[in-house]
Amino acid sequence: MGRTSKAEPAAALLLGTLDLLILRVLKRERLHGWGIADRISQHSQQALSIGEGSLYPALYRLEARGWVTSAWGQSENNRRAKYYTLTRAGRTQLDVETASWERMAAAIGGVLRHA
Amino acid sequence: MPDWRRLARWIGSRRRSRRETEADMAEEIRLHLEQRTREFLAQGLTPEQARTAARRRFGSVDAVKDACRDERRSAAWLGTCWLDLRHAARSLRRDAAFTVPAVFTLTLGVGLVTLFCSVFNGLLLEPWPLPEPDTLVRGTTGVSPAVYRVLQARSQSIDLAAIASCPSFIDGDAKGTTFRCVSGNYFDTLRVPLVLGRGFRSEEDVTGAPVAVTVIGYALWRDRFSLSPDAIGRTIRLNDVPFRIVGVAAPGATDQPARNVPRLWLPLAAYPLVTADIPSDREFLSNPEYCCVQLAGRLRPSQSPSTVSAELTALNRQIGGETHGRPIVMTGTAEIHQPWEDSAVALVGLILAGVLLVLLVACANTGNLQLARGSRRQPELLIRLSLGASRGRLVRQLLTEGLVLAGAATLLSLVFSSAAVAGMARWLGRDASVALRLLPDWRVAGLSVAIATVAILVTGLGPAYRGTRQVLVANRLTRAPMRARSWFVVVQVALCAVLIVAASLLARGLTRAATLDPGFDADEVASVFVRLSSYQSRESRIAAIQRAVLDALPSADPPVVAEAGARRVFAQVAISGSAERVLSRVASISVSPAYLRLFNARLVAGRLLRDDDSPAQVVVNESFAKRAWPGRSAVGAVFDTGTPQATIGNGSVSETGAPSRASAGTATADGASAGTRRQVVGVVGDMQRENSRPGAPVLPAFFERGDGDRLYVRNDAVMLDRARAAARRIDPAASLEITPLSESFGAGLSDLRVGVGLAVALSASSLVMAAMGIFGIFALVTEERRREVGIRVALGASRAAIVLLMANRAGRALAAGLLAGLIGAAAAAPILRHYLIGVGPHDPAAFLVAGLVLAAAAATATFIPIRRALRTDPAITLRAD
Repeated sequence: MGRTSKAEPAAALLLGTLDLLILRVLKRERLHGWGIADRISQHSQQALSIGEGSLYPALYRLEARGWVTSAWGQSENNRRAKYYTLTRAGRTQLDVETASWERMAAAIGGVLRHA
Repeated sequence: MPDWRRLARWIGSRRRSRRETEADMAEEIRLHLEQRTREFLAQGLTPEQARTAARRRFGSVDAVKDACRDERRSAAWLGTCWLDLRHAARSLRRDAAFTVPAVFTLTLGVGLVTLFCSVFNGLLLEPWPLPEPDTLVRGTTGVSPAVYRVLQARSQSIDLAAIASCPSFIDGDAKGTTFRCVSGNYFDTLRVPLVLGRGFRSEEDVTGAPVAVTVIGYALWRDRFSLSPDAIGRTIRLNDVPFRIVGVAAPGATDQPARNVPRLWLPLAAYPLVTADIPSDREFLSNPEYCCVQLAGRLRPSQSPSTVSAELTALNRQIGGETHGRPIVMTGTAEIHQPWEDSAVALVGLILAGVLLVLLVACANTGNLQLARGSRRQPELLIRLSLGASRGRLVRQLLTEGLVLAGAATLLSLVFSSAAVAGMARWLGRDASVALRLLPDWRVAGLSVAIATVAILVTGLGPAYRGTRQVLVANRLTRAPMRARSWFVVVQVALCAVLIVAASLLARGLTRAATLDPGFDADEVASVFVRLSSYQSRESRIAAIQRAVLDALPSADPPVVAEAGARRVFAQVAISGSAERVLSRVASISVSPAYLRLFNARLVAGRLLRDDDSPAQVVVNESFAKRAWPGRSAVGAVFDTGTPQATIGNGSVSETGAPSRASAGTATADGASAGTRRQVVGVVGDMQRENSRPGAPVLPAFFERGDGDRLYVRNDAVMLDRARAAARRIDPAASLEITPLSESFGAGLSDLRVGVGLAVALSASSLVMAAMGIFGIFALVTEERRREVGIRVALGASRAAIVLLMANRAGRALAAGLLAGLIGAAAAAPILRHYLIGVGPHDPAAFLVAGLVLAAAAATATFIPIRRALRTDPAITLRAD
């Protein structure tokens, strides 16, 4: 993966997992880039220490696919920020990806428990 | 997510320009870093440490930006295409000096091909507009109605219908119309669509028991019956015979698409009803020697055109024997139609070759223009490259421009060819439905898109590649490679030369043909045709009028009037003598003795016919004499004729097997000529048939005394008035149509004239393109060397020296092109041999004309830029850079 060296997270995030995480975070509320980064690292108890910059290509990708939209707005401390919102298509996609993630996690878990 | 939503989103996002998105991205990242820095500051780091920590946490800003751009680009490559398109349109609009000639050239080239293909497609390759055209076949040759009946009754492989046309008058219409006379199964078998009533039944088409019913065409229904359903059961009078209407055909219903839609249909058996006065026409249906009806039919299941042809040929052999039973070939209806057939294929090939040559010239010219534009644009490309545009991007943009150009040219060429087709249909006198059929269909349109695109890419790829490479390789403004430019010029000039040679050869053939001696006095003699306004007692009325004209005009020396019968062709004539010999294909014409004198035939030996000659005493033409009795006098010699093989009337053989009316009058001519011994009393010079093409070969022929049905008079105002007066006295409703033979003789040239027109048009358009191309290239070269010219002029070079200098290089390319073209033309010219009359395929004059025309065009095209270069003030030129 030529891109890994550039902007993909150094952490061994499974390919496509970042997208899933972003979608999940945005399901609850509309957020700006660093807010998304904060949420992900909070909920993963810092386990996923990602290069924050790598969020942006993912956000652009999601936006191009129509799963999120973006708009400029005011942040909580009254600063300009670009907010990302989950679209309906994004919601559907989140369901799909969550389901498939759970299937996979269950499968891997099963293997780990019984093999 | 459906693609269209993505597309909609993309279009929405397109509203924001690219620059805005870029700024957006930078701002967003900046704010992110700012936020983190603030957080670290709050944790007590120094501003410097806080900024560094924030950056570390973020990662490489440039890499992130790049990755973002990548994401956006891959999502929106369509978007950059759109940008490319807009950019292309803008830059083309700015460079009218390139765009206008390029679009013009391409439009012409592609338009001609489109036009050709749509005409070819519509006239020749379109199946008959009837249901299930796949099972429909048609005969390539006609058979007599009697033979048709037998074939239809015996064939196991096909349901066979017969089609003939019969000229008739609908009462009230002053002008005669052509009807279709068809077999009783025609409507059921071919399934010609009807809107009302029914087609014919087989019991309505029994030879000898005519039933006066008719199916009328939609146009007639509209004009005569105002589309009223009452028309069924009403009668309409045809040649004064009432016919009951049983059906109305659908609008535009026809069998053969290349011909006009029929006004109405009659059962074949009803043919004698409308031609009651012509005894020989009655025989049309029963005499197997009589030609022709056209065959068409439906294949029965699991039959193919070849199996049907084999069966019908075998049946025809059974009926007519080996000699009379010619092969009957059935083909699909989408193959070359009559009246084009055989020679049409060759002709189509020739025209196609011409059209393709023009297309090639157009391509060369476009390449030329693109090359020139490429070198003009080098500064622009250089700037864009140094601003960071990738080379691939530039090439893509150049190609996009090409595609925009091709798109515009295709659209225009479709418009052009549609207009041309409409014009052609009008010119050919075809009705609107034909024009409609000739409009480019989607296949033709697709073809022209493909041609234009390929043309532009093939000619544009090289220049685009080279243009950008040069910028890369050498950081200087190089000239576009002279070699490539010269090649385009050479190719253009060569192709153009081929076309001009072809056109001038054909044109010379045409002018030569007009001066060829037909062997008779074409200006002095006129043929007389009696025109009646109805068919009632046609035969006897015409005979009476002709008799009156004959009586009114002196036929003694010098003769003013003469008559001639039909021309017959004998398969074989036996020459008596010490060695029995046989001459094949010999024509005979029965004439009044005044005929040869009126025509001013050149007497070679013996004497002309006299009033007291017996029918056995004949005059032969030179071809006959030379072949039958080579090296000795023919006068007094004797030969025997068999039965005539065919009777060929004065009229040309009709298009789709309509019985040729002109021949009808003497088809049953006196038996005197059949199988009798003749004695030669004189030999006259060869005379061409009055309606043949000048230069056509003359058959061995003999003239015998006999009756005729055609009148010829001296083309003299007083005599013509007397003839007209005599006709009026007998029949006030009749009129005489008098045509000088020089006119009918020239009529044989009409197709050649069309061909010359076509060739001239093609070569003229290629000449214009080539001249434009040469001009473009040369203007560029002089522009580039302007500075050099300025220096030379400043240093005291004479104008002549400058002209020589500039013309030198162009001159070499032009000369090479011209030479190559003339050699190519010389090699290809024999293909045209068939169309050249009295001119060899290597006629020096034609080649000279081509050379001169091209040289003149090239000189004009180079002269203007040179003059412009010379006129500039050297001081200004030198200061310019």
